[in-house]
Amino acid sequence: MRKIVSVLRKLLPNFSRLRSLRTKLILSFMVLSLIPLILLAILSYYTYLEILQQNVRNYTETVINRVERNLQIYLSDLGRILDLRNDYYILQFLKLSLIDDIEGNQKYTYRLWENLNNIKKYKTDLREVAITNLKGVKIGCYGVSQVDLTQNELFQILANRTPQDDAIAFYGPHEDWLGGKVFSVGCAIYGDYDNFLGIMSIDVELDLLARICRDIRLGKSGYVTIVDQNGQIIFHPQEDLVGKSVGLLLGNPVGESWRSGYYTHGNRVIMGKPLTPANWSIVGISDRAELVSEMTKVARISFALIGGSIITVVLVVLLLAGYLTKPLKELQSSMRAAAEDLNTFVAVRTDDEIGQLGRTFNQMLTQIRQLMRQSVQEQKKLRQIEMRALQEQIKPHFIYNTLEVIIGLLETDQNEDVIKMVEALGAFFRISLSQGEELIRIKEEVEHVRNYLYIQRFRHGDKYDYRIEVDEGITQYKTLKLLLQPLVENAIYHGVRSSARNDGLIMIRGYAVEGTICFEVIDNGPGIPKDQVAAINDCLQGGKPLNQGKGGFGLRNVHERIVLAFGKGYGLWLSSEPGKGTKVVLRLPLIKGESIAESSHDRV
Amino acid sequence: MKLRRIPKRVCLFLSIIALSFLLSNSARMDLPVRTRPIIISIVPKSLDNPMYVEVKEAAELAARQQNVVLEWVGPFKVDVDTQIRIIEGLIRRKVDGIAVCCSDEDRLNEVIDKAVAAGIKVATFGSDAPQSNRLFYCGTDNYKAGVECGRAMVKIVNERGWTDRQLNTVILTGGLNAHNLKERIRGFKEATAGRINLNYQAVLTCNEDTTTAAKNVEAYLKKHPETDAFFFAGGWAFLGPPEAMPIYNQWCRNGGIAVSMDTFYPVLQAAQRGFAQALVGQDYRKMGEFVVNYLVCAIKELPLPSTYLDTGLELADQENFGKLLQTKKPWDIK
Repeated sequence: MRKIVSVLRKLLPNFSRLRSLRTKLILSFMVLSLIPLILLAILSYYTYLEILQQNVRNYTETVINRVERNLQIYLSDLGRILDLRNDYYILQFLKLSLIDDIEGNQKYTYRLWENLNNIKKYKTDLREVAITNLKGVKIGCYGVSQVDLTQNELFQILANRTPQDDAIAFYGPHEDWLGGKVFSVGCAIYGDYDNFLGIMSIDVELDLLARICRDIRLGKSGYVTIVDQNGQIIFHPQEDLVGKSVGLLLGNPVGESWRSGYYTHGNRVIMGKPLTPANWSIVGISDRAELVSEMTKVARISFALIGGSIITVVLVVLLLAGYLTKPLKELQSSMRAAAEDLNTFVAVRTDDEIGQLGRTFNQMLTQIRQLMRQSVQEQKKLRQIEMRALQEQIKPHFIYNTLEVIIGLLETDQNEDVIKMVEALGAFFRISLSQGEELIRIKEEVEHVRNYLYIQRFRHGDKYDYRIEVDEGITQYKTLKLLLQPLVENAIYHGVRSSARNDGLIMIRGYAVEGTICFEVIDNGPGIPKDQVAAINDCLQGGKPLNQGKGGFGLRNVHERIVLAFGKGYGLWLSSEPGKGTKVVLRLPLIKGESIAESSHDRV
Repeated sequence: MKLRRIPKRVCLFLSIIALSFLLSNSARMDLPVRTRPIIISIVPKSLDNPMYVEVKEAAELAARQQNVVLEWVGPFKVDVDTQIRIIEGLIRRKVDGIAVCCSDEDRLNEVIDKAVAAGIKVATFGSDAPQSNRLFYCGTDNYKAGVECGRAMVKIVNERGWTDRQLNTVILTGGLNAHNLKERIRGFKEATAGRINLNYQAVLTCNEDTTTAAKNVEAYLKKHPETDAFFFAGGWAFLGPPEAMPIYNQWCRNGGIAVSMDTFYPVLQAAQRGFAQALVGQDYRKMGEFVVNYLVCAIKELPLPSTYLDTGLELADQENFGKLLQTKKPWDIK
């Protein structure tokens, strides 16, 4: 199971690395650059496809229009030639041939041969220009021959028209009697009384369509084809398809929709346009695969460009991210080093934010080092003060005197008092030491000062009284130990004992106010002159120290310990009124936590 | 001057054939029933040559008489390729009879044989293709015509007393490959050889085109005024207006000798103006008439008198130019 987990860990990406700034920068840059790039490529592809399709359509339309225009011009030329059908010689020939006047018609015969051959010579695509009469006698460029009118479609079309319908008729493609592939156009010839005399016809080589359309290409493999009214191909670049059904090209059933408009059928793009006078259709057929191939080429180029761009972007992003994050990495490594050695300095190489951060970090390190030095000094000082406070509290003569009192009590067999004294003294020392803990519960601090007062009052012979009023709610908070005892000692020796009165009272109050804990040590002794109170307070606030012998060492020791431990917002303040007494106010922060004394006691 | 007529034996034979045809037509029940009339196609060397006017007219009249359909199809200008294509077209159309005036016998042999193989009765007229399988030839004996031209030349030269004089002579022909023209030149040369001293300087061709003929003659004489005699294998040069040939006109006035084939109205007119001293004519009407009638005979499986039907010659010189002109019909086709 462990093996599986370790393998999975190896296989899965290291997500912690993904959270690095470098990775984020890389991802951000890539997202910012690649998404627009890909969107642009997709948009460009479809825009190009649309433009290409439109261009193909326009080009096909242009080509077909050009073919149609060329054919129309050619057909209009043929129309002008056919206007010669009312020529005098033609009419005379028709009339004389109808009455079978052989001798009389010789002149017109030779004249017409010459004229018709001149017309044929004028337009090289013409294969035959001929006049056919009602008897089937046809005079043309190759002489006079006989035509079976029942088999002559063009003649039948024109013979069935009225003189008012003077439009050109089309027939074919078909094979002429000389074996050439032609299509025929013709017009009816009418006599003086609108009587039908015959027709004038022109046979045009089918190669004409090839000459017009052969070289026209729609793309590489697209082409133009011409289809007659019956759906038979009359021109196709592949000659073997001529004469076949257009269904071969467009698929069966072919319908009629291909004759006009633009649409796609299978792989073919088809555009048809009717050639009105002939009832033919010009059809442009392009290979869709060619378009797709063109687009594939474009897509390949696009993908190559995108791929190249992505690689370039990735490389640039990697380099840029590396360039940007290198100072950060250096900073990070410097910070890691600083965690172990505060004497480390960050090498600042840039003036940007990272450089500023390095400088700030260096400043911070300097400050930390200063603070550390300061802290060490303060701790050292605090320990010294504590030691001094402890020395002050446990003065030898206090111990001797207390022990003498106990001896005196033993001598007078006041055993119960002895027991109380010893218990009080023991508790006093235990709390004083507190197993080296700096912080003790307020309850213990109060108990400590209570023991102290009990001992001192017993020693001093009930010359004064004391009262302790501490709110039960604050007793579980913590305080620096041995804060109250020096204040109480001052209240005893400089307050109630220095008074001649025997009604001295020391009042100790403890309460919480505005998120702090306040202790008041009040005595009703002789008080202190105002200037001395000001000097003491000034000394407590960091002013000049008091002169030696003027006392106040205990107050300053307590104040300095509080300030060192909790900051300048805390400490003590003295107020006094001569003749009425002195009050010392001690302000501490609210500190929650387990008592050291209790915990040590529990361990015992 | 003597005018040769059709031999009496030929006339008699033709009459017998015609009569037997008329009498036997209804009785020949073994022939397949036709759904369309007999079609005979005549293929001249070209359409634009007026010399064929009389052939065409006579053929059409004969066709009407025979109650057959006559077609007159050919290239507008002499063009053997087109002539071959036309004959192939006629084979495809399965006409009943074809009469070809061959512009190039060697090249036409194959298509003539193809038509014959297709069951079409094929004859030649005017210009033969003797190596082909054609049924018969109907027209002028061109060798004889050449000989007559040669004899006329000998007579003129002798009359001028130039028998021993070497005469710079030029021949104008239509094309070098036409059998009829080759035969005429051969006959002319054989008839003059050893009798007079003709020094042949050039053989000019004109593709049987009247304008080209006149132009080439003018050009040659301008360059070679020392020319003494001309033999025209056909009368093409004289079918145009005489004013179009001023150098030749001057050359004739200066004593140039010219003998030409054909006795058409315009050729006779030109000869009367001094453009030629002797002419040898062909009977084009008979050519047209015979070719149709004999082809009909062939189609109807009737016997033919010969495979070579000579239509005779017409000799003319300065003595009878005027008289002949009165018998000819002036052309009004151009």
